[in-house]
Amino acid sequence: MPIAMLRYLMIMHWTDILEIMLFAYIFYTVTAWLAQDKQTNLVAGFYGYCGTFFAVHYLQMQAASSFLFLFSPVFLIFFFIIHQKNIQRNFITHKNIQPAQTQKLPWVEELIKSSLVAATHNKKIIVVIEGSSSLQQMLHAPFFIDTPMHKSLIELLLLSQSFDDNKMLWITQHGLLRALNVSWNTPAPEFEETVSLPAWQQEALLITAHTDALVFASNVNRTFTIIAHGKKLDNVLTNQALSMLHQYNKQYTFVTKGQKNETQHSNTL
Amino acid sequence: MKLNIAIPSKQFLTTLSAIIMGYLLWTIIAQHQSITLYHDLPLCFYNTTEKIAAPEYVRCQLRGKRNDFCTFYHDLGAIHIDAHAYTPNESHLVSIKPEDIFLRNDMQLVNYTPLTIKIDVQQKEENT
Repeated sequence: MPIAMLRYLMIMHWTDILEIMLFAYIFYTVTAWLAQDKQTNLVAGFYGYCGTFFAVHYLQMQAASSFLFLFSPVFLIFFFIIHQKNIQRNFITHKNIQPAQTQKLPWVEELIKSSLVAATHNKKIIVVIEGSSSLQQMLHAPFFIDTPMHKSLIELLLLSQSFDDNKMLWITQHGLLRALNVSWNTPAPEFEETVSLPAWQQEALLITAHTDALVFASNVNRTFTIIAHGKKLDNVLTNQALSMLHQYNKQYTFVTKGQKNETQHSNTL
Repeated sequence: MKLNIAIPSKQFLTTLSAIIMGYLLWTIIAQHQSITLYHDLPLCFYNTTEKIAAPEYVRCQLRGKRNDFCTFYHDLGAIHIDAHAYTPNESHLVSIKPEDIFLRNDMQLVNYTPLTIKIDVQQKEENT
């Protein structure tokens, strides 16, 4: 009976099974590769194309079958181009360079206090917090400080003439102040829904969507704007901001201790 | 009533769909390819009313399209031997010639074995 079943499936020899497994492996590899693209559902498109091709072939729709077969290289290249475009866009962000870990400091409270002091002086602070993914290639800093963060130091820097409140502070999740007057070093994003936002928010949305970085800004009305995981929260109160930063710090500190390689993106923000 | 349905994992579904896709692509490519296959063809005798003891099958190596082998696997052909010259109650050595092997038009005979078979012809007992 199994032999008859195999004959019915056109499998006449054990080498036929090897051939089928080879084709299946190719399909699996291509599918897994296409599935790496999280922005476009290329796998569904690929299965849709293959399913259509098999259907028209077995239904003996000669014109459609010939068209899909002859133009299959074009369709494949089309898939590859879309995929490569997304890969290139995400190439930098997929690098997971572990920044050096330093002594854990109560930097969250220091940062919030400094933000409120700046708000008192009618200044806003934009802070980018680097998580486990390095932001080295995405940020441009005129010089590096690399000093443990302290309230007095931040206030000194913020009240100095050289501080530009349109630019950012770059700190790490371990409370290391890396640089001052930092700007984004990435091409402008092309999302239509973010056109009305300031440029730094558009770029923050793009970067935080692909990394575990968090961007927050203090406003002169003593509220905060927090951007993480590609989402933005406006008018966050001080205690809420403090809680969120604590939660972020706790989450990614745990991850970088080596428990997991991939961060679990919670929807808390 | 609560249905207890196990949902397969994504990994399993991906693997299964890859195997199905791979098989479908393989059938499209392979169905018109010529393959060589060993097949047992039945041995038949005609022009005789005697009872003949002989091998039931002769193993033949055939060449044809995979699709034809699949479709006509149980009806690929047979070997027909004219037995009018074989006298009863004797053993005979019969040489199987290629022209005795009747195949479908789209099949080709590559080889077969044995080339000669031994048959025993016995007189058929008439029912009274």
